[in-house]
Amino acid sequence: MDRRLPDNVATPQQVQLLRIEAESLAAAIGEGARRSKDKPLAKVSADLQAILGKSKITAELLEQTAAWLSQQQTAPVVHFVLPVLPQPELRQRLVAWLRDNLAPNLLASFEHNSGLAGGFVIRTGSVIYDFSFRRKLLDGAAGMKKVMKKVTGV
Amino acid sequence: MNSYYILLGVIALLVVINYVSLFWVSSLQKQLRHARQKVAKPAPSTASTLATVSAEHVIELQAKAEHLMEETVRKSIQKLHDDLGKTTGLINQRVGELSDKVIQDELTKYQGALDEVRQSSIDTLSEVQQAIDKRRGEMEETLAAEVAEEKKHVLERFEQHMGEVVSGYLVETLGQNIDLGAQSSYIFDTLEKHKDELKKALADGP
Repeated sequence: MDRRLPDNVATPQQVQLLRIEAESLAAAIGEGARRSKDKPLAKVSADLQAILGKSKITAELLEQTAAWLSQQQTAPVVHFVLPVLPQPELRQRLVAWLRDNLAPNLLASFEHNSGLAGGFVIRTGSVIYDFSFRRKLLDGAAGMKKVMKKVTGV
Repeated sequence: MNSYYILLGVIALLVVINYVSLFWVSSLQKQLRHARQKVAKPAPSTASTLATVSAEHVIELQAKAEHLMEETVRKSIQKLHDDLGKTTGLINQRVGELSDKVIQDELTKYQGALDEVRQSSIDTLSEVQQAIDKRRGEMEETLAAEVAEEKKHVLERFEQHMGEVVSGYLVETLGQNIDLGAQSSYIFDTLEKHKDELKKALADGP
């Protein structure tokens, strides 16, 4: 199954919810088939619908999707720390960039830390990249000393 | 010290001479009394001899003898008195000279000892002063080095903390109004710039 999570589905929790939804729907479809073939299907969320595509929704498809989602839950997670929580549009752009450029099955989480002042910190596994303005200011302390010397003449 | 012993010996000799003189004068006076008694009471056995000498002549001889004895004693006493006076004067002069010499010697020794003590004190004080000057110089050098080192550390701490203070101020100031939309280009540019590192980190795993 060569497919990719929608870019608005980024966190392991979101994937877990979709998996639970798929499993529930699959169970519901199976139960409905035993009771009445004419009973309508429960409404599918837009995210799950985006994963299922335009294929006919069957219990088998949902079970396969649930299994795939279960695999996706264990995918690597890239953690973003930003000075404020990003708007959904920016979140989707970031997730899209990750999946386009690093790995198609990547998950992402977002936290905020106002002390960063700007920029961001990214962590994957045990590696942390600090691209925040705060870090740049601290690393630029030597340059700041030169500026102060020029200003104060000391 | 020998001068003292000599002086004491001379004084002892003079005392002995005085006693001997007094003893001699005393013996002469005793002889004179015996002679007077013999003249006043002649022995009966010699009456025939005295009979040849008149009583006036005896009295005259007695007066002459007495006068002669008195004169002799007087001269002896006068001579002894003169000698004693001279001796006393010489002794006094000698004692004075010896005293002056002893005092002068002692004063000279005392002056010498004082000079030695003063010189020793001057030398000691000079050494102490030199040691103090040397120690002060060392302490000044040490203090100057410590002050310079401390100044350097203070400046380093100040510069280090200055960076943190300025950074903290900027963070606090900038943290109030953050527009991620305005920063998005920086975020994506940074991600593009470090894409290979991120890929490697993902490949290496947790």
